[in-house]
Amino acid sequence: MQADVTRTLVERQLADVRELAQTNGWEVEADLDALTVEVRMQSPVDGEEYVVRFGCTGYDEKPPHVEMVHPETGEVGHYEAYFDDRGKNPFLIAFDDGPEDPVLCHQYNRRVYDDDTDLHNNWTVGDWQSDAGTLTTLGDIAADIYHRISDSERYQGRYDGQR
Amino acid sequence: MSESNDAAERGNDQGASDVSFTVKSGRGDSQEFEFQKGTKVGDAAEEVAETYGYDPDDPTFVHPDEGELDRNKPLARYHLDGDTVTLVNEERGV
Repeated sequence: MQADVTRTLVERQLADVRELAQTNGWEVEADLDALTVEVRMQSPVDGEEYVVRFGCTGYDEKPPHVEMVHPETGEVGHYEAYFDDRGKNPFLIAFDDGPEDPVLCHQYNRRVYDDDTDLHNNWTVGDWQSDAGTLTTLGDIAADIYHRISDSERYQGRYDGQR
Repeated sequence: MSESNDAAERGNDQGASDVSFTVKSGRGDSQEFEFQKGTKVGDAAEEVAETYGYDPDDPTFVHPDEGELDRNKPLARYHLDGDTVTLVNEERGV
């Protein structure tokens, strides 16, 4: 039942993501049975490709799991899949278990609330929608990530696994 | 200073001092806006954000070729006429 509600919501928001994809040259793939959405986007700054993966089980009662996928190997969560947005504040990239374990640190990412993640123990998953500001839809989150790789001052290129 | 959808209604009756472009949001909004070219990017983005019902937080636009537009520069600095951009907010992070 919950999965059906989530599927309907994801399908609706997927249309918004596809609209942005048309403008920005993204590629969007969705598996509505698995409740996953992947968005492949290119940095306008240096042409590097990034793939954002949304795992939407339980969405939007809970935020999606937002992971980066290596654009060539398809490996989920590898540090080389991430961008470095630390050119100015506020930035997204943070580290869980060392510099080779980056996380997109925002209230919209369920990984930040995982029991084995120690980044923000003061954040409550049930409050994610009120805490995430305007970034509570898949389209808004995708646009936020695109914004991180489109600002030549903020964006520092592909993350190299170093602090 | 600006009015959404006016540009389309005016057709080619657009002054040289104005620029019109379409703004999409992550929530499916898509409208054409017209601004004076001297308008700062940040001011235009705030107006669009309010029109779309966002609580603006230093918003700006991302252009697919030009990247993120500097909020403090005038729209005239960019080649936006007839183009489509994406509205983004300056959101929190770490």
